Amino acid sequence: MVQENIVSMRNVTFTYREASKPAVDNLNLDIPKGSWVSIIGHNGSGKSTITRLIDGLIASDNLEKSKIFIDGVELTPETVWDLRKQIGIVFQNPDNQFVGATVADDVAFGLENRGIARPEMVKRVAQALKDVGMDDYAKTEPSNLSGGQKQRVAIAGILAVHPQIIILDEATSMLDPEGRDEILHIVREMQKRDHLTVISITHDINAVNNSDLVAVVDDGKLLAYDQPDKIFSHTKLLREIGLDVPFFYQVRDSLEAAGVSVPSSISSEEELVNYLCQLNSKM
Amino acid sequence: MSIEFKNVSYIYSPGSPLEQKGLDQVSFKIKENSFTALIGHTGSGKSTLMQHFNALLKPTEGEITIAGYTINKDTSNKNLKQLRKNVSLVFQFPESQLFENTVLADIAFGPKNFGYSEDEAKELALKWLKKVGLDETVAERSPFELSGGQMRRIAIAGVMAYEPAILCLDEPAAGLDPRGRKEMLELFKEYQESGHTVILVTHNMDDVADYADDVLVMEGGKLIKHATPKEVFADASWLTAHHLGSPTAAKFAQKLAQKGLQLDDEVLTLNELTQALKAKMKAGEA
Repeated sequence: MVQENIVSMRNVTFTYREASKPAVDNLNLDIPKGSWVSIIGHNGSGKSTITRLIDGLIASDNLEKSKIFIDGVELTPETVWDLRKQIGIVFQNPDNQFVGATVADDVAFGLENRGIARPEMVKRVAQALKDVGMDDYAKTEPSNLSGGQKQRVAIAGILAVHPQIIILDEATSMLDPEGRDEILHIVREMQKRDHLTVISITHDINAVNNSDLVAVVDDGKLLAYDQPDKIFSHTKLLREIGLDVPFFYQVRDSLEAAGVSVPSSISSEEELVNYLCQLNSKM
Repeated sequence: MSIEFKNVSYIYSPGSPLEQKGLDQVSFKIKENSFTALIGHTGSGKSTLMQHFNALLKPTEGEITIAGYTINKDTSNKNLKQLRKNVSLVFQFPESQLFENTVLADIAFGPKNFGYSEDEAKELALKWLKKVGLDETVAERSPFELSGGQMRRIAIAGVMAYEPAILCLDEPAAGLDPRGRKEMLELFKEYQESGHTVILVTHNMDDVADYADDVLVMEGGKLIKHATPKEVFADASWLTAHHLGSPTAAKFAQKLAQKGLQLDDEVLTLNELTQALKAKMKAGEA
């Protein structure tokens, strides 16, 4: 085996009750350990359903045909409780994820649930808050925090239980640009330090561009799965299913349409900037 | 209907240890039929300001003139119904406020509440169901069976269905996919162009550049700038100092400028950037 997969999905199909067609349709997806994988697709394409399947919150239609492996172990009604400890999810709305009266209580919640001994718990809470830069706020009431701070606390709650996989489900879409960059920076640092795998559902095209791999999902099917630059070279396909491409591709296409030709070999913003500057200085 | 704030301050929990200034001497006038973006950091006072638009909060000091009402600290909570029909607020995650058994009933609730007959309300609900991009086939379904994006559209339709003169929305497109985001913003723009005033609270500077003709910038409860998008985004160092971003096209133009390609005009949108680049290349050829 060349590469170890932390998540493997085989022929996974899931249909919501009373729905006329599956939300996830015969999906096969491998997520390499330690990678940052973005899942993109329009609303209702099945992105969140995939992560709920991975977390065992819902089970596939046919457990005989569909298989999901987390870190090599098959997800079954028996293994789901243990496997779920490996996975933490940060959701879109920070206000929906608070249970504790203080920031520290909130971070401790997941540890209490897992019956971690108190001395260890205190140590882990302190470390997790430090990791996300919220150690000064341990005694603060969560409602007094900004959106970005709340999301950092949510991440601390996940780091404290030492998972292998962090799922970001639109976790930055309510934040201002600075808050968003902070969260992505923190998660990336932790990913490197603790060799975490990050699965990110997002419409933020810059975050997608910084991933190792991008999965494009449409109608519950995996349409494409590749490195960002390869994915984004299919601008037409992405536009057809209602998704954005990074800005420099939009500039390139827009210039083409306006009669300024740009070589198709250009595949980064820097290259486009340099090309336009050279073109200008030659004139 | 224009909106005017005169020296409006608002203090949370006055006289208590938790006393905090939410708004600090805010004065401005928004023209009728404008598309105004309200920007600023979390905690800058945007939501506090927004809640003053229909007297959910009333000024501790100062006075607001809006939709024929004058609101100050003495304004009674009675008789505000007409104000709330004329000025509607859509908060973040409005889909969490859906409650009816069917999509159509949920959208029709607002119009009925504001005095439309059962039939009129139903007609308006159907009209706005389609306007927000949903199919008539979902009308009789439970809103809770639908996707998050569809629920968002239903909640927004429920507010637009009684066609308020002033519509104020807080991050209405957050979490929608790029096409959905564009469709919703086009809908608000169209609503403005058909004779209404739209106020959009947003972190997305591209939306400010693409849709707004007027911008209010809040910081620490103070209004620190009130200008057109061109004026607000012209001063990159001012934006950096106040931790505000620029539209993507403007950032791209800055990168070009750093490498020696200075465009002749300030650009905020993809279209402006394209035209400015084209002009530059054509001038070179001539």
